[in-house]
Amino acid sequence: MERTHDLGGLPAGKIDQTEHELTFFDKRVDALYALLTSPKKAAFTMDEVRRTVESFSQADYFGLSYYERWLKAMSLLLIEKGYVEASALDIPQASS
Amino acid sequence: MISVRCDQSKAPKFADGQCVQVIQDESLGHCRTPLYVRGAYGKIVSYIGSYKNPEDLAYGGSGLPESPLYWVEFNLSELWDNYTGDNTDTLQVEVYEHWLRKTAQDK
Amino acid sequence: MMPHDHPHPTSRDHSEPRAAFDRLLSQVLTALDESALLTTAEVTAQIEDMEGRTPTEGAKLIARCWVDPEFRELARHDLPAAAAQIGISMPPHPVFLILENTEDLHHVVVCTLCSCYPRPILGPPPVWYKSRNYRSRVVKEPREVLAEFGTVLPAGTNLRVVDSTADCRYLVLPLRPKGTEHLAESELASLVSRDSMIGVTKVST
Repeated sequence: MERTHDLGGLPAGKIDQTEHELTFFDKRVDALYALLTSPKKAAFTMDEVRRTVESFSQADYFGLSYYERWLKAMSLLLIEKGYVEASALDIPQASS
Repeated sequence: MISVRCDQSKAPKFADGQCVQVIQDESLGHCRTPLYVRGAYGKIVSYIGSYKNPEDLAYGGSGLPESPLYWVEFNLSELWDNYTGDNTDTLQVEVYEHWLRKTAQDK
Repeated sequence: MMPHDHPHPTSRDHSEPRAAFDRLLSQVLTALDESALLTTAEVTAQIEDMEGRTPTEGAKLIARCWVDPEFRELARHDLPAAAAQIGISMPPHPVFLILENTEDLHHVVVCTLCSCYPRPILGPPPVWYKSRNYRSRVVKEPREVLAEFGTVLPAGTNLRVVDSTADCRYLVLPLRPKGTEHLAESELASLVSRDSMIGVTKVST
């Protein structure tokens, strides 16, 4: 694993402090994450989502927006864990 | 289940104030020990509690037995070469017991 | 929602979702509805719950800590119990804690590995908190990062950077500004910004 996500101490630039309202897409993905990792649903754990996000290529990790990353990871887990048929979801492949 | 409970109640291995080194492990797979503290020397601030092991949870496991978790403090001027802040600046990170080992008190 | 057209030079920390992801979200919601794992109504209820969790709630908690020593003591030892007193429900896990700033000690919080944040009290984190640049830099050059947020610590103030790596989520309890003894609790709360509860700024009048 490349540990693309493990950013502490790496060279980086100025912080963009622009404020953004969450879009409806963001809010729905956020809600899905909260519900599916909750003790009540327990479809998968936070650490399974993290492990899946961490397995993304650099192009995906930095190329997708935050909530796109979460959605892609949760989609892969729903298939991996047998909740959803792979054929039901069109998961965008990593961009180059 | 009962045996697991017994296992969980084991006492934490490290005491407050004890000097420790984070294990320098090129671990494959998911873990919550950042690369930038691996191999670094720090000090136990305190034991937090024992929690499910994320390295097992990440692959669909139960995370049991729970793993002791500590706050570990590092001196930033020791952690980074050419640190530009003050000598008293510190970093506090949560580290699981199996990522820590004892060191001599004076390093 | 206002469209925005400013550039995102380093990474897509934030942007409008692309059509392919909008479609994927619809597919996931449909599949979950069919699998009986989750209904769209539950998603809607969860969104509504989250919209009630904003920095305003965190600010109320901070102001109460400033004016009520007993409440502060409770927040120190059992933050969810203190939060419950002002109407904020919190889950039993992860562990929620306050980091108390003093004249001599300033805390700043980050999650270098992902985006851990005290969501039940503050809502979702700001985009910059999740950004590559903040997560990379604040553990190595925290004073430069604070300066970007307009925060310069007085000489002799100890700085503690707290990386939220595992089971704990932190809310910084900022220092109450001087000269605010006459202010009511609600007026104090209005001074407390989200950024001061992350620790990149201080509270000022």
